[in-house]
Amino acid sequence: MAEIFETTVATSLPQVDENVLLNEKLKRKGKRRKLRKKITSYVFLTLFSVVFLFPIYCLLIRSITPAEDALKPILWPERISGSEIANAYGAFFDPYSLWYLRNTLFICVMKVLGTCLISSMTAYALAKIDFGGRNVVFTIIISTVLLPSMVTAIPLFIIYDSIGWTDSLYPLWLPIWFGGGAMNIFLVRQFIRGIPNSLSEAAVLDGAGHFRIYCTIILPLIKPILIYLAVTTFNGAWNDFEGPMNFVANSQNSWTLSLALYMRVQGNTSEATPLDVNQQMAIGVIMMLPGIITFAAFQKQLMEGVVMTGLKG
Amino acid sequence: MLDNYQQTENVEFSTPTGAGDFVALPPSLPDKNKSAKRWRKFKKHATGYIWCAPVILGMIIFTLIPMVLSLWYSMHDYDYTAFDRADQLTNFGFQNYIKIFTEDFMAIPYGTGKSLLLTFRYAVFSLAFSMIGSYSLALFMNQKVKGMGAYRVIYYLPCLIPSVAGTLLWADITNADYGYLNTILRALFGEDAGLAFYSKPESVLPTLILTGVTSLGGSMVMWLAQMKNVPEELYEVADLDGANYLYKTFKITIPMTTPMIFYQLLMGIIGALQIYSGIYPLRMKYSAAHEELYFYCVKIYDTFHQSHEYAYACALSWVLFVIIGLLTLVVFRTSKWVFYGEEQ
Repeated sequence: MAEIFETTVATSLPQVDENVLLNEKLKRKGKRRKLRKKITSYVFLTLFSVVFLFPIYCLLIRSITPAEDALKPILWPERISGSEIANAYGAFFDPYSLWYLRNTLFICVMKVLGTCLISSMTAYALAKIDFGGRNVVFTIIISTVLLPSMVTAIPLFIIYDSIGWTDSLYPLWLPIWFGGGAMNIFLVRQFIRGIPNSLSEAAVLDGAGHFRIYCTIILPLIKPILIYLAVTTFNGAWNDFEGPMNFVANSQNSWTLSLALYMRVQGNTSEATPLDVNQQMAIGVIMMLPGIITFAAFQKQLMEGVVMTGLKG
Repeated sequence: MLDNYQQTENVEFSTPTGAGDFVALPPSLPDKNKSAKRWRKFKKHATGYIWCAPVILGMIIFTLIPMVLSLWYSMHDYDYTAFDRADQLTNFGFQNYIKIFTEDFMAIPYGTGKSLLLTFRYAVFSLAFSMIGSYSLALFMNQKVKGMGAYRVIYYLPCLIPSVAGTLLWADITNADYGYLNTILRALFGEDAGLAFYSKPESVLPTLILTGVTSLGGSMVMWLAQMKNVPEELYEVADLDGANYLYKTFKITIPMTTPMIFYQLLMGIIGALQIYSGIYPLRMKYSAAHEELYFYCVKIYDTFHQSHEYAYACALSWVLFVIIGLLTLVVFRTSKWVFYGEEQ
């Protein structure tokens, strides 16, 4: 016994020493390697940042470069004058632009309300009411995502034109009150399915109908996903170019900011002069603000929503 | 004895049979129960459909009817100037579809074949670029370094530039004469440097795709969220086995995110084939590159809104619909590589 003990101790002791030494060496080496890795990471991160900030820089600089210098190959405006900047940013606040802003805001608000209401109602029915054929309904709703919008856009334009809607804002917001967006319905349905039935069972025992359960139990619980929908819908409608271009391009009264920007650069309007480059970019800068503000204010909900979109499949 | 008696009593009471059975339930009750049950069931079904009614109505009004109308128009000649409704649609037949694949297919300069080919080329290259690019970027960003949140916000910022302003901006940046990119290149490599970008036909498509580099941030954020969802244990186990970074990436990260890759691929194909509205500001700035930017949906839009050939535009859009449908089918059929977790 003692012999074995002695030999094991004798052989194990120096080994331990060696291991400790080796470990420390490795640790030091690892630390150095880690540091090097960290530095390369930061170098690349910063390099990429330059690439990603480049368009933002150009947008800002071109908005303060005087119109006459817009076609010069310069990276920084040779002269900066307050009146030029005021002229550029003033383009957003002339009566025409304010009218387009009013149109855009109206569409945004109606779309946000419609999306939140309709998608949550439909999702509630699909998740919590066990009616016959609900899987079929759900599948049909989801498969509409695959339809190319061009196929419906042409006959819709003909229909809208024949009932005089191409002079109004209806084509841009009314359909969402009868659709809610297939992906939105999918998202909210996933969210509602995560709410345990036990919560609503108590309400059912109290004699509450679906409407009361929806209003008092479901709606407060799905607030995070509704905020996500509201923010993404608002920004989508704010920047939307395809919809206005499809349906209201011929009627200046119902232009939105995006479409008006395109049309005014083209000089295709009743205004006297096409927009100068600095005015275009200034409008772009101002149009970027809602996105930045909502992104900053709702970053948490937006990220959660992005995670939710990953739950599909 | 007492027990026995009680038992028999119980049995007699519990099975009321025979002529003197006055405690029998009213005969109508089971039936009423049944109809009440049926009523309740019907009510449940009806409630479900009432809640879904707006969406179902919407799908009929804003999707189904337009699609049928589109198909109907596409099989006629549509004369939009005809005063009488009855004279608008004439000549039922497949002439529009035949025209797409015969006389208009090889037409110069704005043929169907060329614009289809261009659209496919754009779809393939832009999808490959944006998916591989944003995925690699997300892999790179998926490390624990201080200040990563700030970098993520910076990378996301260009996605907030409104689409029209963004296109106009990039058209200016890539201008061959005064654009910022060429100005920088000339400052670095001398006066002869500088790229053609949109001013030469062969570099139009690469420019269009590569200028999308700054919008990779949007998809990157989404991939990052996916990668954060991969269970940490998988990496720990791999670490114990001494797996290196590449192995972990290809054997854990990518397989675990395949559902999202599949979804992005599908939506990417559909979206890329329908590109058009973002192209118009560009076409406005570079009228010389009209032909190189003549995507299929641009053709449909122009056919409809400028030449007013309604029926022909409908036929073109139905061809696109069939192409997209077939591609979707192919993507779904070849989706064996998608990993949906262990529960399935």
